[in-house]
Amino acid sequence: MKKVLLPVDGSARSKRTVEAVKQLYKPADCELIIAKVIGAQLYLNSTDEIKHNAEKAQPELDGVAAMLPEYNVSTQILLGSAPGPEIVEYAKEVGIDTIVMTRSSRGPLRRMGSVAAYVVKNAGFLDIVVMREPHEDEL
Amino acid sequence: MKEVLLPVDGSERSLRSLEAVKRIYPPDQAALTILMVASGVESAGKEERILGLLEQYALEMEGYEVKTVFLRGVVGPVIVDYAREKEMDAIVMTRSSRGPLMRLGSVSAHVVKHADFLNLFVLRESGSH
Repeated sequence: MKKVLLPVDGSARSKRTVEAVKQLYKPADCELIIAKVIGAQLYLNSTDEIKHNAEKAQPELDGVAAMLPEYNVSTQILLGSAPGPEIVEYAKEVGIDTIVMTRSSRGPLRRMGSVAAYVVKNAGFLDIVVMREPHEDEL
Repeated sequence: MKEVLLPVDGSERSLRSLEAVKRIYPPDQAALTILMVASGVESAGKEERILGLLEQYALEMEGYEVKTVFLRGVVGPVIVDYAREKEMDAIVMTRSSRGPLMRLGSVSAHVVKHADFLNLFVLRESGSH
């Protein structure tokens, strides 16, 4: 039974992550966790802000889960100051076998550097699948 | 037919990339290129041994359409340039072991950053899958 983590970052790229998961794993062989990191930095984000962002994230996670009807899926909201470290720490904590992810979407996450590169460098205990950038006609 | 690139470095871990390909792609769906990259210094006088190693890797992939390639240069950039030039669909690799000058994972991190036009599989460091 593989534990597979799908970090999502709010973009339409999640659809292709879902397609990859369906190609790589049969429903009976895996447990999927769809996760999103919410910015939660002391002194920078108020608790109201964090609550608001978490509330916005849940429907997004549920939307991705809905694309995987036969699978054993759960969702997880992670709070942290940077997505890379949060994802890696969480993966270590719960014993993730594989992470399937896209590269960061355009926008603030991109400026923070590559989350995928961070995960590759720091999560040597698991397998990582990084999806290619979408083609023009896939957007 | 997917074009799949397998960078290898001659170490034990390269065998795991080959095993992983068998799990990810059926033989009729992927054409494989096994690529070894070494610097001029590292590979001086070792061509025969390297080509022999590549042949051994190819033999592991019975049933698959396989090609082997040996290139000299800096590992990360050569892999990315080759993948781009040959329009590869995917790379399957382990983290590299490059000794004191390159930290484990730096080649794969380079590939993640620069080969965004293909799907990348980076395998865990050790243990069974």
